[in-house]
Amino acid sequence: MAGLTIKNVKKIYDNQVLAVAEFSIDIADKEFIVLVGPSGCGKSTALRMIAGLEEITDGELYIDGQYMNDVEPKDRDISMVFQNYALFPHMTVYDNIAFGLKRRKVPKNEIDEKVREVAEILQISELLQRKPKALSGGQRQRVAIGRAIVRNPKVYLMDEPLSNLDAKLRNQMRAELKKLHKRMNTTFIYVTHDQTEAMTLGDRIVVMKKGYIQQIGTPHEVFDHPRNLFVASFIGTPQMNFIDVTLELVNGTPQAKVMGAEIPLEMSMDIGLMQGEQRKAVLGIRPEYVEPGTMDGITVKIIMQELMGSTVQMHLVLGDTEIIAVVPVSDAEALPAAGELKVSLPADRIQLFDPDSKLNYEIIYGEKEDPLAHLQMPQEADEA
Amino acid sequence: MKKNRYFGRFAVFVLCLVFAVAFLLPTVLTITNSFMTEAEINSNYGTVFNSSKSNSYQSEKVNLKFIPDKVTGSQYINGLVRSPEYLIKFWNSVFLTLPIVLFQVAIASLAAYGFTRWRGKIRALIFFFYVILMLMPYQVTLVPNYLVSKWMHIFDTRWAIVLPGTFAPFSVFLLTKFMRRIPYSLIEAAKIEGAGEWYIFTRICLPQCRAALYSIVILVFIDYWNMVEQPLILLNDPEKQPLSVFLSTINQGEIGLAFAMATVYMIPSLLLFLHGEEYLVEGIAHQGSVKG
Repeated sequence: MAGLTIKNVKKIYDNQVLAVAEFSIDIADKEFIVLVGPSGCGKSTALRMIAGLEEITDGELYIDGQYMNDVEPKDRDISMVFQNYALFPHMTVYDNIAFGLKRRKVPKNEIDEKVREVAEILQISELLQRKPKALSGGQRQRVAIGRAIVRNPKVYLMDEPLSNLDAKLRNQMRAELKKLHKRMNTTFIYVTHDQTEAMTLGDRIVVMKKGYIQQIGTPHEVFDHPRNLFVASFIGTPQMNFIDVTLELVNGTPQAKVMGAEIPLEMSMDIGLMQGEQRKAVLGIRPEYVEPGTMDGITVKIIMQELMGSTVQMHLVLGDTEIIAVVPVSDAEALPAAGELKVSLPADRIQLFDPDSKLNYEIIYGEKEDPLAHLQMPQEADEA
Repeated sequence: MKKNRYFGRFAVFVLCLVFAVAFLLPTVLTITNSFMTEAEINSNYGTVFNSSKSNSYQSEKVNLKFIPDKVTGSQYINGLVRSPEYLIKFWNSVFLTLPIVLFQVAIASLAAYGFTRWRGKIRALIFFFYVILMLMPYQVTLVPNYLVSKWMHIFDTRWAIVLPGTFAPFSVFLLTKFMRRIPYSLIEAAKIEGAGEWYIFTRICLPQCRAALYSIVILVFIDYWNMVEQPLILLNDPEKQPLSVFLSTINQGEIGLAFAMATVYMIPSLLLFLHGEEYLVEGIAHQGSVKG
């Protein structure tokens, strides 16, 4: 069990490609941290640097207070679960799980006891004498996790461990990983490109893009207060609706105007405008918060409805912008299937973003200081 | 239409059968004739081998005969027990071939591991040279080998054959291709779990290259077991010659003995092939090519 301190860690490959830029975070003991982002965002590279599988170009890494930059992977007291499981195909499940203990010269009877205990926890006791090729994907995943937890290391690193499983098994294993974290009561660092996994598993989420950290926060913070447009669009399914609006103060009250309609904003919201001034902005609102079928609001055209089970996704169009509203099936039944209807956007759920810096207005005009203010992603890198 | 198709298939079958018989004929002839008496062999092929030692009847024309009049093991007893010459040559073959196989597998697997793990910039260049060397027939290097063995004072010793045989690009190429198929994450997982480089090489990489290792052992063994040019050029002393060379001197007489020893000579290659046949197919199939 240990915390980690990562200070301005950078990875530049020999071909001068920047994989990770100024990666800094303090990870508390027993915390479940999820690194999330699209392919090529540097999340796996960051994890591999923590594991010692990639050299750190610049910056400092401390595990449990100890400087680890030049320490061999085997001496970092970490374990890792790989995306492809990385089970040794010529060894039995038992030998795979016992591998790390054998290399550390743990007495045989102790190894046997620990392997059987872990097998019991993961419900793979009857598979111990099988070879990996005789296992299903889910069973292989359990063996890989077994090999990682049997040594009881200080930190568990997991590199997209569920991405090779089918959807049903992934949900099941996700829940089991959460239980495992509680049971092991130690630090987990988990990499995924699946934002649902990130939201459900992480105590805190680190959202990355093109090597740069975009936001670090709890799932709630990242979902409801995205730091910038990228985080807002990446987190959440379906993604947040974005509407180009013009901001102004009307009788001291901030308002967003779109297609002649006025969308009232929260009275207390600071939009940095004087009376009579106007500014372009991007209004963001989650599909779950859009309220269709209200008496007043803005008029939208219905394109289609998709039944998702207990909810319905209503595809609507406002001017030339398509927006989605997610409503319970019972509410959707009362709404028209085609034509026009009015939708209301609750002021307390609206997020505003600056179209140039892409930052949330809460960051630009809010009272809280931006912890990532020093970390400015170059404009050309962002647009590339 | 249907009749024509059946006729076509029958014609192909007959053609294949003719080829198969043509390929098998010498082997079957060697094996069956090894159980004949000296006199019966001389009566069949006397004029071809014209033995000066033989006083028995010699046939005027070659008479291919597959079924012995009288089955006897006397040629085997002569070759393996009474006449030490063939046996000595057999052991010469063993002592030349086995070290080459062992050393070549050891060196090639280490080199292949290096090519797999080392990610330096000039790796591709060196590997390219290996492939070029592989394409070169070994007859091209016989003269340089002769000169180098003279210079190293190993000419006319077993090492003149063993040393050049130890460093073979084909084995390195085959094993490198095989090792590169091992997911890198396996090596990384082993590293994290506390394995050192030697342990990863011997316990993670090599066991997964079993098919390639078997293929190399079989191919190299057969290659060197049957060698003729190298011993003829690099070994002056007839006492040191392997059986493969000695068998080519059969026209000096004792033809029955030669048949028996040729049969004995086939056995190790055959056993090795039968034992590792599956691996041989797997090992080569994964490379998408066969040895030329």
